[in-house]
Amino acid sequence: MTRAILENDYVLAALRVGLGAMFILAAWDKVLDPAAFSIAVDNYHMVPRVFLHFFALALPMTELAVGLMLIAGVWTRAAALISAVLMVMFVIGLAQALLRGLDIACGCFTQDTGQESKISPLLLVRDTALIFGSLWVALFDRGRWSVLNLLGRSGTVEAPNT
Amino acid sequence: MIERKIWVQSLMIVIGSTLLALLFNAVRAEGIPLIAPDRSVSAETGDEDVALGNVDLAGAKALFDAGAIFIDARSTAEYERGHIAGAVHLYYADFDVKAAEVVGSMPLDKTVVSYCSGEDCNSSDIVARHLIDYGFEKVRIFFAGWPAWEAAGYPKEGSGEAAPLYGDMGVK
Repeated sequence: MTRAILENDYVLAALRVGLGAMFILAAWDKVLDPAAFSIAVDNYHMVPRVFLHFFALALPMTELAVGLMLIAGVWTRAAALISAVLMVMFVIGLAQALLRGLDIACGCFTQDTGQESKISPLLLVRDTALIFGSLWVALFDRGRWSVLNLLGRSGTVEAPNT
Repeated sequence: MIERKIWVQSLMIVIGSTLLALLFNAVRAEGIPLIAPDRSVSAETGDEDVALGNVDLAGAKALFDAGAIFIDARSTAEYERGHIAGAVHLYYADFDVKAAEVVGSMPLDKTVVSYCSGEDCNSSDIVARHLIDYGFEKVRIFFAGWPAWEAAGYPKEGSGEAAPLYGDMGVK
């Protein structure tokens, strides 16, 4: 019964497309404005300065690629795996910012309450759910309803774990 | 559970995306340098005429003596506890709402210096970029900020109250 749910093609397709759309939306502004994004990354005080710009350039483009591939159903499981890894990274980043009392909009450790924008635990919950959603696709996706299949080029459905 | 082929594909996606990102960055106007510019307290923009640049403590003091406008990008409470003498308050998150009121009457060719609570804080950078977009022609970011200014004993104003020892954990 559980296996049937885990391998349900409808659920997998929905997860796949949902995750893909989310990544494309998230990546769009970041790809267009790397300077602003590198400030945003710097505000978490996790990436050493020397790697900051490299990271700020590589991450959004990776998110964009993952988003497009998930929607198209190309190398779906690999894209979902990257998605899971990214979400783990984001959760770690958010959690450490929360614990350190960091204002992620400016990178300051302000003691004052009320004016700053700090992290909502809801974000942590959401991102954790996305880790599980990504792992679900990474482990069980069988390539059904990928763009290639829909175009009729490949009629095969990949079995997972071969 | 996830076979090798999938890991290899993942690696290829990441490497390919990274290369694409670097290529895209190299050819566009909004491209950024691969190594983030130095922001230590001694970083100084050499060129006098550049629109946006950094100043260190000595540079900030020189601009202060020459009558530049200082903008405090920190919270209201921090500003009230102590700020650079004559500095105006413009919280980085309120820029859109407050800018006209705070800097609207200032001539755009006057040198403006933004600062916040030190090297770890990016509010000064954020406010500086907004100021450039707003139309100011010469904006400087004093990254060492309030802690350095206060430690040097330079002119300041404010209640002088101590900052609270512990903030909340940040849970809104």
